[in-house]
Order: sequence, then C-alpha cells, then structure tokens
Amino acid sequence: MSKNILIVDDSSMMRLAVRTALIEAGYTVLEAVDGVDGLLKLQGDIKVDLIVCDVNMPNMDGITFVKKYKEDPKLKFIPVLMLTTEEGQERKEQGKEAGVRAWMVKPFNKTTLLNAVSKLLSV
Amino acid sequence: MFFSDEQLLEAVKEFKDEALDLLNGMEEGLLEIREFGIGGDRINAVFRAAHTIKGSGGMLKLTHLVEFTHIAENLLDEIRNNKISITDNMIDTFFLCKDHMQSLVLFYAQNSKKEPDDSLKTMSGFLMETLQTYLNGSVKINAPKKKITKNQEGVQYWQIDIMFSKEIYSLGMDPANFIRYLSKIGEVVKIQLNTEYISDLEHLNPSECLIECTIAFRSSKSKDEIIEVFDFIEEDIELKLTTLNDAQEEQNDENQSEEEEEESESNLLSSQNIEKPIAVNNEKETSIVNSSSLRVDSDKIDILINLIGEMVIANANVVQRASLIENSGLNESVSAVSRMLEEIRESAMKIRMVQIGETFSKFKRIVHDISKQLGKQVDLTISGGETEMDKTIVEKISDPLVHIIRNAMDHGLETIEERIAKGKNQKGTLVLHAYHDAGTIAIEISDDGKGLDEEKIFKKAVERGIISEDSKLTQKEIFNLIFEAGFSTADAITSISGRGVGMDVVRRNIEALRGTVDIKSTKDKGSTFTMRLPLTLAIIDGFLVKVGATHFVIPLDMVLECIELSARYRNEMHGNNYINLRNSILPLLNVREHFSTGNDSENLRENIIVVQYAGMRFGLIVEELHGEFQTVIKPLGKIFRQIRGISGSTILGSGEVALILDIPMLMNHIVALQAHNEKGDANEVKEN
Repeated sequence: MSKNILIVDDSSMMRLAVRTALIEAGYTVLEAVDGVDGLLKLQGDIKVDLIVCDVNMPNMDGITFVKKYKEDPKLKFIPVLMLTTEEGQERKEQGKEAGVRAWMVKPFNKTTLLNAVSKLLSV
Repeated sequence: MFFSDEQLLEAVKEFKDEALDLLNGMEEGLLEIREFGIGGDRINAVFRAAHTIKGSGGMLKLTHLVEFTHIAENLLDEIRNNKISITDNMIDTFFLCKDHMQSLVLFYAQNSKKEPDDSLKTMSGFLMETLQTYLNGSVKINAPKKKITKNQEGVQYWQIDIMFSKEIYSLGMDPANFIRYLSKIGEVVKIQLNTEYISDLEHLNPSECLIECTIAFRSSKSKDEIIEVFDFIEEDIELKLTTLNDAQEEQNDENQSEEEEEESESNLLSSQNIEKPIAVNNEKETSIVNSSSLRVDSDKIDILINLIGEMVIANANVVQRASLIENSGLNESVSAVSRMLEEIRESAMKIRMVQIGETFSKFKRIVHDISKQLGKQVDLTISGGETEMDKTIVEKISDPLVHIIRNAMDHGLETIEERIAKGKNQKGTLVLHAYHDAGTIAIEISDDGKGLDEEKIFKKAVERGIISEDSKLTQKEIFNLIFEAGFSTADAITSISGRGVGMDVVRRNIEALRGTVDIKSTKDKGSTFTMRLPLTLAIIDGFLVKVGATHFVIPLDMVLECIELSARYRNEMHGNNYINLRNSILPLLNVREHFSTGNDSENLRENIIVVQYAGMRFGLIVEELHGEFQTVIKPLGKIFRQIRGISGSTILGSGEVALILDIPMLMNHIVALQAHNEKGDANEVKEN
C-alpha cells in the first residue's frame, strides 16, 4: 500500500514540483488549492497519511487549516510538513501552537523533501 | 549587457517565440524517440533544441535557465554519444524538463530581468537532481572505480539517549520513524527501551507516548548531522549524544568495506532500473520535411486580411456601377480585377491556414501523461493531420479538444480490469480524425470505452434540476444534457477531469466559433464526439438571396442545389413544412415567415435552396436568387448577438447590408420543431 500525501498549495507550479518528486518516490498524491479545499479533501474517502502544506494561501491559510483539522479527533494524528519562506519565519510561533513541528524553507531540493517525508511517514 | 533596454524587450520576445518552437520540436522528438528509438537525427534534433535555447538564453543572461538547460544538454550529449542508453524514465524526465523550460521561458518573457521565483527554482533543483543521477549512474558504471569512500576515519560509535514527550503522537509524529531514519545515515546497532515510566497496561493512555530509549549507533556522521535527524521534534524530546571512544580500528576497516559493498550494490540496482534501453531503430524513420518558412506577426496578417475584406466590398461596388455603364472595355477590366482580387483573397486566407496536425501532436503527450496518471493503456490514432484550418480557430479549439480527450480517457475508457472482464483488448483506443465536410472542418474524437450511460445522465440531470423527471427526451437530447451548465456525472472529482472547465464551456467555446459539437454513443462500444467548425472566420464564399426587401447570404459550401418551388411542390406541401424531393423527405423553412421580413412582394416566384449540414439536408424557401457572392463577415453588434439563425452580416456592393444565415442553428430549429410535432401527433393520437 502506497502512502497518500495531500499537497495543499495555491501555486500550481509548487504543487507540480512536490507532486513530481513524491510520485517519483512512489507515493500517491492528492492536491488541494487552499485550506478550504484541503479540509474537503481530508473528508474524502481516501485516507491521508501526510499533509504537505503551504503557509500563505487565499481563502484559508496553512496555519488556520492545520488548526481546523487538528480539531477533528479522527484527523488530528495526521502529520504535517509546512512549507515556508525565509521571510515567513515569524509565523512559526503560530504554527507551533497549532501543532506544526516540521518546517521546510523554500526553495528546497528533492532530497531534503523526501528525507523530511520519510521522517514523518510511519511504515 | 549585450542589449540596450529597448532591444532587450524585442530580443526577449524573439527568444520566447524561438524557444517555444524549439521546445515543441523537442517534445515531438522525444515522442518519436519513445516510439522509434534514438536513431536517425532524432536525438540530435532534441539535443540541438536544448543547445540553442542554452545559447540564446546565455545571450540574454538568463543564468538560471542556462544552468538548468546545461545539465539537460549534458545528459542528451551522453546519450547522443552512446555513453548512456536512454530509458522510458529518462524520456519522462525530459518531458518534465521541456515543460519546465517552457515555464522558465514564459517567466522570462514576462519579467525579463528578474530571477525566477522560489517555486520555479525548486522545480529546477528537483529536475537537475534527477538528471544528475542519470549522469552519475553512467559515470560509475563505465568508469573504473577510483575513489574510495570519503571520510572513513570518522566512523564512530554513539550512544543516543532519547526521551519523547507524551504529546508527540498528537503532533502526528511517530518516534519509530526517526529511529528508522537513523539507519539511513549509519547503523543502529542496538535499541534498549527504558520501561520504568510505563504504568500498568490497564491504565495506559494509548494516545500518550511513554517511550524512552537508548540507542547504540555507528556512523561516520558528525554530531550535528545526527542531531539533525530529530530537527522536527527537537522541542519534544530530550536528546543526549555521547561518543564511545573505544571503537576499534578493525571494526572501522570492516565497516569500510561493508559500506563500499553496499554502495556498489545500490549502484547496480539503480543501473538496472535505468537499463531498459529502447531499441535503436533506424528503419522506421519519419521523413522530415523542411519547408522554408517565415515568421510573421499574426497581427500583420490580420490587418492584411481586413484590408482585403474592405477591398472586396469596394470592388463589389465597382462591379455594380460598371455594369450600369455599358462599356465592354470597362467591364472586361473590372472582371479581370475581380478575378485577381479573388485570388489575392484566397492566398491571403491560406497564410492563416495551418495544418491541424501540429495541434494533434500535442495531444500525444497529453494522452501519454493522462494514461500514466490513470493507469489505463491507451492507443492514440491520429488521422487527417494535414487538414488545414484557420489559425485562430485551431488555437481556440485546443482547450475544448483537450477537455473532450480527458473526459474520454477518464470517463469513457474503462480500467484495464474492466476491459478484460468485458472481453475487450486491454489497451483502449482513442481516435482523433479531422476531415473537410461541406465547407466545414470536422474533428472526431472517438473512444472504444463504455459509452454514455443514458439512464445515469437522465437521473443526474433531474437531480441537478436541469430537466424535470417526466421529461421525454430522445437519445440525442439526453446526450446533449452533458453540455448543460452545472452537469457533471463523475461521482468523485478526479484530478484529470471534473475540474476546471466543464462540458458547457466546451460547447460555448465551439459555438463562439460558429461551430457545433454532437455525440454518438453506443453502450460498451464507445462514444464519438464530432466537432464541426467553419474553415475560416473572415471571408467566405456566399450565396446571395433576397426575401422581401432583405438580402441574406448562405455559406456557399453548404448549398447543395436550388430548385423552383413549383405548383406541384406547392400542392404537395398542403401547409406542411416538407416536400418529397426525389423520394426523400425534405423539411422546409420559409425564410420570410421565420424572420418576419414582411409581405410586400406578393406573387413573386419562390425558390428552394437545399442546404446540407452535418449530414442532414433541408430547404430554405426564398424569393430572388442572386448567385455567388464574396462575403466579408462582419460580426453583429452587441444588441443583435442574441438573434438566433443569423451568424453575422456583410456589406453589399450597393452599400446595403445582408444578413448571413446561421445554417447549423436553423438546422437545430428544424430538428426541434420536428420532434415537437411528432410528440404533438402522438398526444393527439392518445387524445383520440
């Protein structure tokens, strides 16, 4: 059974980048364009094993999205990897409160991404 | 800088045009390589494309693009020199590289001086890593092993004490992952669990983490690198690292050779992955026709065509005036000018004509990508690629076509298992076929999938409130429901279709081009979508007629014949709207009644113009026939857009306005009318 990873990012380019790397590594990928969409996808039939999520997004930002899904007892154990930029560091505090531990600063390379993912996914 | 600011703008535009062309060529080349191998000039062509882009990118100081393309070019060069054999995976990577280069080019075209943003750079990084692994793979296979692993002396034994916080599970973290990850950078020799904090099992809270352990670890990594493994949870654990200095030299040596072995093994593995070379096949070379061409801004051609249009109108005026002056010499000259003008018009229109094949070959890639994503096997057959049509139309139908193709592959074609169960070939077929048909271009997209499910569509349309439950619809009407706004049969929205534009947008786009789309489908046999589009948007050959005081133009390509509405036919009609024409029923539409043009020309002889569209015929009842007429299409003003049955207007030589009849729309009207009448008849019978 391959692991399902949900990418939440409003940039299609970024989704493409992450998706390409993950699919190549054998993961199954779901995509959402913002936090709202992300919550919808989490409610779907496919069990998500890991979320890779951008911070700045329209409609619902990444931090709010994490807060929301962590409220759901069925979903709160899903690990999340937050993508951020050099400048976005101050939001880390808010993220930490919401339960985010894993951060990755853009631009990152494929190895970093795959290493982070493998740390976060249980076998 | 090589260019001044002003020059730069132009240079970037030129670069964009050139690069996009090259990239398209690259994609085609890759598709051919996949099919026929790297023989012939194929790999060279792909290599040259990359090389040229790198070169011209360098002129513009597009550093990032140059760096990226450089790596791709390196790999292509190795393949070209038979140092590396190309594999399917590599081709896939090249496809991604091509897409990415396109994004970069488009990015530079918009922001000529800026560096690409983070997301573009990230993508570059990913692809470069992949390309590099292919490059490295070959070097290691071919070159004798020289370098013995780097810092072997640093191998050390570590004792790692970890205590995880109780909340770690609720953060979504699994301690086991981190320990497993350790073994990626060294060897986990032993793990000792400290169980003293674990209370009796009955009172254990499963969502609390009580793990505390000591790990014996052997690795050549530094302390910081080992700590980095736990970077995500550094605040949620207590970590203590101690070196065990009594590690023995011997073990170091042993370790060294072990690691080496491991590495060579993994190399072998990856090289096995890579080595599934595609056969180099020189026989099936496709001929490359090098027609010399000139790149012209399409705006310039539009201006030319507009001017010719105006000239055609002006000339019509001249012809009319000349005919009033009875001077044979003048008439001769005028007709010579007219003839030449017609030729000019035709050649000008030809400039705009492009073969649809170019657009079709784009679909090879799309089909390839989608079939991979869906895990379906699809055979794409393309025919009629040499059919020519107006460039504007080609550009505008690309999106609707992609959408129909995606739908066909996603919803139409069954999965491999389903196909096997149905006794079909596990490979689905998708056929793209273009041909000329009565002054239109027809493009067919057929699949041999499960076909449209009438019942399901009907139910869905009722659910969506598009129709009422007791509506009685023909099969065709049911199929057409999928073009209604707010209709989507996919139960789950997939990433392939069911997102972005819906079928309603497809129909709207096609109708905006004065085209139509219809569906034929048989359950379990497959579906065919047929798009019909006009050859051109600007000037057509028309047939001029007059009804009352109003002139109408009928596109000549659709006119089959003209017959007189004789007394015999009049009797036959009996107020019905059809006649028997050589033993087949010909529905009729009275233009005077339909457009209420008034009744001021009583007693005139009437004529029937038989028109054909999409394999159906009907007759238009008109009065005067004026013959062929070069029609420069002028769009209708905003207020008149809603009028059905009129697609545009044109100006006659006399300065009068003539309306262009929209035959497809009138055809729909007649079909609807017939269906209505049949239903009416049925009801009457019931009542009786």
